[in-house]
Amino acid sequence: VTTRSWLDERLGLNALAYEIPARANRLDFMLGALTLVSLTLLAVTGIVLTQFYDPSPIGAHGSVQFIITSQPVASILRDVHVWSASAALVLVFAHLLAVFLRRGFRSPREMLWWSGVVLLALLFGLAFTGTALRGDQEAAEAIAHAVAGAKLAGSVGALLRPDFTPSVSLQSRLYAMHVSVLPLALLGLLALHLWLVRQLGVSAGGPSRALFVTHLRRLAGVALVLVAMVAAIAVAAPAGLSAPGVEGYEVTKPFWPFLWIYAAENLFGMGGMMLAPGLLFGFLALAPIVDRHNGRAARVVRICGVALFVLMLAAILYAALAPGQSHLGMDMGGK
Amino acid sequence: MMTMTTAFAALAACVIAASPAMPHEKGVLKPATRTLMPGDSLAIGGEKFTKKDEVILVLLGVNGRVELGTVPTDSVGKFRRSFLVPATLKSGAYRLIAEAIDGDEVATIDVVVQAMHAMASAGAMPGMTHDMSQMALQPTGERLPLVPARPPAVLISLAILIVACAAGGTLLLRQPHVQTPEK
Repeated sequence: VTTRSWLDERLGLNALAYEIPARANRLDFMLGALTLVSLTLLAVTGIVLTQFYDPSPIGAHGSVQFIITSQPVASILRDVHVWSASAALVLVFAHLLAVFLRRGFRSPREMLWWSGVVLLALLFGLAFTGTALRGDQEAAEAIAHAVAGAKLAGSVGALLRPDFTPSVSLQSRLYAMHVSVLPLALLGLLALHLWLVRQLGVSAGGPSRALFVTHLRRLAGVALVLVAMVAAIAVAAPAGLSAPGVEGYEVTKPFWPFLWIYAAENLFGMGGMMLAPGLLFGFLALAPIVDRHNGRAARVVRICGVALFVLMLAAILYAALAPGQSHLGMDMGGK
Repeated sequence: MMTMTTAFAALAACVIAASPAMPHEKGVLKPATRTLMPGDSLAIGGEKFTKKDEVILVLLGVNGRVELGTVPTDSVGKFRRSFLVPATLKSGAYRLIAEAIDGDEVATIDVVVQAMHAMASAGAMPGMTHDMSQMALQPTGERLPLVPARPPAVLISLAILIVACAAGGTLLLRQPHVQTPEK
């Protein structure tokens, strides 16, 4: 009895030898799974970081500084954590674009698409709450923006208001969201997303078939290369930390995935904070409803989707290069 | 049988030798406040400690260890004294620890040291250095010049891991065998 057959018998690994379209072995069909690999890296490194991080407003900055300067393994894991977050966001957008371009949202995959859209929103939530935990100037301004946004959103934004409860600081509540509420929601939705992929199959046509185990092997190869790349970048470019945050000032720009929202705030004021995400997520939610059959509506959806994506990239570039602006009417520290 | 008895006797001797001869009483610390201000004095009370002994009071946090001083306990194991919180103490979460003379931790309580900028905005504080007040009052997004902890052993281990992942990944991708369903 070989080890493989012994394991097959006990773990039911034969169930993985189901058929999938051979095209699914291409890289553009692996982007979702690679996002999952990045999320796994985030979870593992995040669990270690929780053992060293102090979520209280007064202890946060000192504990991050302690991690960077005094804890070699935690310091590298923090860098991997930060770069994995960037990798996850790049990969999820690439996955979104690839699925959009092959119209993977059409019937019967609407629920699969919508679960993906909510997962994207959760990823943004995780990226935002992660940024806000460092206790530095960028974090202070991120929290100030969230509070302003929460006030704009009315009762919907109640959780992000500091006066939600006097017993716990907003930063500590953001930490709770980052390590429990959002990951649990992500896990639940991810389970639904993967189950739907298994039930509905990937939207890859073609008569040629392959076995899923082949796909898994190739996926493992790409995943290992991704892990190596993230680790190498983490060593070459350690994530920084600025001085402790001073409230009432706007002197920084946000983490790059939020620069398109920053650009909208530059152009439309605080309303841009609601407008830009509303436009993106509204479009993504409506795409499967509008684009049902080939025809004019389908062409319009496709053009609008590509235009939105290009606009987002342009907005990120513009916000990165444009001089800083005050969006909350705060002091800009002499700028 | 004799050998086993000897071994047990030796083991018991080791255990007895390793355990402290006189365990210290575990006390209770009662600072006047749990939010400390650098440069201020802090009254700390304590009770249920070993009678007629001495305890060392220490602040321990991510920014380091600061010894506040040594205080004797009275005939019922109590003490009360004011200590100066060092003006240069960085803000953050700390543990106020009472240690026996032999270093045994006999009591602890969590405290926080107030942020310098919070005080700076309220006015200059005694003992505040120029650099601290500048850092506190001038917000900046510039990266702090922190040197990440990177001992060679960790870097070498990481390099091996990176090379192993890259090589393993490449090998898996180069494997030409593609399993197709049986007809």
